[in-house]
Amino acid sequence: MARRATFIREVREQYPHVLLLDAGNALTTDQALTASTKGAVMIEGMNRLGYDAMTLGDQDFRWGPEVIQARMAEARFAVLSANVYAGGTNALFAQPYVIKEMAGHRIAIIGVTSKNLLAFLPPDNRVPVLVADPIEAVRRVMSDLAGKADVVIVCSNLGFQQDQQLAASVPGIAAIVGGNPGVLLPEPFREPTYGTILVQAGYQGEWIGQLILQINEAGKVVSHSGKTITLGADFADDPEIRAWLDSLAKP
Amino acid sequence: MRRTILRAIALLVAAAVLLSGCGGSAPTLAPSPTATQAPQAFDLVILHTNDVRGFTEPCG
Repeated sequence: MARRATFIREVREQYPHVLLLDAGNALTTDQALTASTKGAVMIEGMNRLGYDAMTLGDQDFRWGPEVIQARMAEARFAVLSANVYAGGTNALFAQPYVIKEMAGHRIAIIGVTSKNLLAFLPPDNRVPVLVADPIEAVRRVMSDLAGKADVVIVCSNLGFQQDQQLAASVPGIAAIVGGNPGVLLPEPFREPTYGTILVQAGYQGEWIGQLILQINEAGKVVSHSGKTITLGADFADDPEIRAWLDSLAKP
Repeated sequence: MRRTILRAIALLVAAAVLLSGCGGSAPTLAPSPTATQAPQAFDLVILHTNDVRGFTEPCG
């Protein structure tokens, strides 16, 4: 996380319009520090790194929906899912999308969660949740966003195969930032049907992806480039994040 | 005396309303997301992570 912070800071110094997104499964783990706080340390770290949004991942529900609700309340960024519902209601569990303005364009970020979520709920879960079809959910949100957004990004926890299905099924998505189970795409993949760009950046914080979309005045992506960066030892720790992590490690 | 004070207060309130430009304007609806500047060509940089799974430190 400290190396990631260094890279993020360098990119923010270089570019004025940066979005920092997470495509889910950030929270749950058997890592002692994260497990002992039921993911709170990850939310705090993501707050410090200045994330703009994260999508709820299926495995983020391992500690149950009540814990997720507590983590969502702690986040200073948008926690998204357009297809998870509080069971027995028509209410979405999280906000379906967020809109950011950049260079006079409205950038919508939609979150969708894998239907495998139900398999990860704890056995004693008392808060029912429903997971609707993610592709239909994106279609519905895209319809809601008509006239409200100029560029649409989907932050997807569906997995690379379903991301391709989504890209081939729904027009108007500029890019799908994917996750689950953690595919390492060295460079962006352009799904040919509507030209949607797919990216995914490995797992366990070992990598970070960088996608650059060149967008014209009309809000159209005219070119793109991207890469996945290994956060190896050649990245120095960000001193503030390092100090914070070290403080957590003290008994 | 009391009538003069009330008249002065009424005049002050009326002046404040006129100066603030609020007089007679219709209530506005909550704004839908609207870009506040003319759209420009730009580079949108998306930094992204996934499946971090609670790792605060690199494992390699």
